[in-house]
Amino acid sequence: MKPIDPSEITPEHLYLSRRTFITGAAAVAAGAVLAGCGLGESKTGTPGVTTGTPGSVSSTLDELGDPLTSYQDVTTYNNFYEFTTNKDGVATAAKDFTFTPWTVDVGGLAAKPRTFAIEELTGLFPDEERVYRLRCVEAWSMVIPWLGFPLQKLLEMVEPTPEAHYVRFETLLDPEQMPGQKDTLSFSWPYVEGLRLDEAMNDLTLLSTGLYGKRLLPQNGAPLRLVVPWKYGFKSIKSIVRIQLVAEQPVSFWMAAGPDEYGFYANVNPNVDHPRWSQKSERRIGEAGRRDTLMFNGYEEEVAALYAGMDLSKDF
Amino acid sequence: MDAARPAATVGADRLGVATRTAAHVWALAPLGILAYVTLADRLSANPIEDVTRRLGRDALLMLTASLAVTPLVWLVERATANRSSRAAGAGGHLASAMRPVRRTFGLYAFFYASLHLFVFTVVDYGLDPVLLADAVLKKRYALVGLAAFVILTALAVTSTRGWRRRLRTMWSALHRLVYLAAVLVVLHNLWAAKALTAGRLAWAALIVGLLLIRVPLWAYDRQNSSADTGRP
Repeated sequence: MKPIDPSEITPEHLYLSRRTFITGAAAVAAGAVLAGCGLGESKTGTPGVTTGTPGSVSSTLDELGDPLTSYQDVTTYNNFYEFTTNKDGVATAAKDFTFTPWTVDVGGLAAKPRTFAIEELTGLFPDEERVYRLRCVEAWSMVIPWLGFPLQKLLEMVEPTPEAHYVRFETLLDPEQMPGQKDTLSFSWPYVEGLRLDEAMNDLTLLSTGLYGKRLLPQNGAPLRLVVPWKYGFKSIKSIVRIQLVAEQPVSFWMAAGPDEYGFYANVNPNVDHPRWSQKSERRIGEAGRRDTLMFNGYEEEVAALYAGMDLSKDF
Repeated sequence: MDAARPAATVGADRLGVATRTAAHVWALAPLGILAYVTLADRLSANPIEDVTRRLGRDALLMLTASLAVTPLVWLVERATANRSSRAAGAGGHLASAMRPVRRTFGLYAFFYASLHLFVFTVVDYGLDPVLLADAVLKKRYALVGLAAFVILTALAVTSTRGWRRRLRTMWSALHRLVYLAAVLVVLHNLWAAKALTAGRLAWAALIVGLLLIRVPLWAYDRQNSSADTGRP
């Protein structure tokens, strides 16, 4: 990653004033121009939702010089259909989620398949902090300081056999704890995701156990989730219980829900629209305007080679 | 109060005023709620998207209410028609009080749809022509939404008594386009979402139901037209 020039750092007062602008713009739009009624205060978060305070982070910017999305926003604006399809309702809906004990079954086409307790994983693979952009397929984005370890390290430990070409991930299936899983009309559960083996072995691909210097909260995919920063957010599967090495390309949750709309690769790509909406621009959470979406979410240098010779409009 | 008028007419007037007032209060409530959540800083972390979504939902709610008026009026009239003359009179008053709120809710649907479109084009996209063209022209959810808005605009403009008189029989034909607008809005709501969730499908079913229920009501009225003086 490139070092950050200090001049690229957005001063905090400018960053906060964007938030002020958003609140103001929304109020004007609503025709609710009431002078002096709370405009200009920075956001203090969704009332009734306590997500605590962030731990320490080693960097407050990503490698492009953009500031971290606030801990409050990262922990209260989530897509996690297992709990609710309402993004600002996930934190509340997931607050009683119990994830101890937790084991992760790692196997399939592997010479040394193994079931890990979550504590074993964090003991075997020390935390690394990675500041990544997260670009949702819904055209919003965040900058998040993750804690975790490269998936590569775990896969090397179980020794994939030569027949293994893909990795298949599965979320916990527990409709009692995850009421969204009772909607079997719209979706087929559990949530499944997949990567090609070389994508899984890329150094950027992270298994995350925390963010902002703390362990993951339920709404962010506790206790273990995937983070694939050059792909749309839905590839970064949450609350993982199973990781399998497989020969065939897995069918993901979203591929099953809409085969014409969600492909296996789901690489962030401003030139390939979602069939129903544009992917050219995005809104960074905390900002008022829109930003241009970057090829591979700004990680072109690290991952473009994985897709050499492929037609990305076909393999979307 | 006009002492020369019969008591029943005064009662009917009061009923009309009460119904209209209730309709306005109910239709303005979403705006009040939106103002409150905005000023109390209770919007989501993506506030522009949140406001856009809320305004769209409010427009849909008003359109649904407007479409529900005619079947409800029909029910009130038919339920009281063959009873005592007193019941029929009361039913007639209630039906007369309800009929004008169809227009009220229709205008509120246009109002919320205008704010919805304003936030999307101006606040969200800053009227950026390149981004807007890309976001709208190729996208079916945006195109059907825009088409519905054009219809609602035409209906709002011609909703006055003057336009009704000027357009004569054309007026009814024009205002039947609200059914087309409703179908377009349902498609807009389904296509704009990442997935077809139960809630969106249920709302679509409600609107389609309100459109389809008109067919048997219309057939019933045609069959009974000789014995009945009620409006179609």
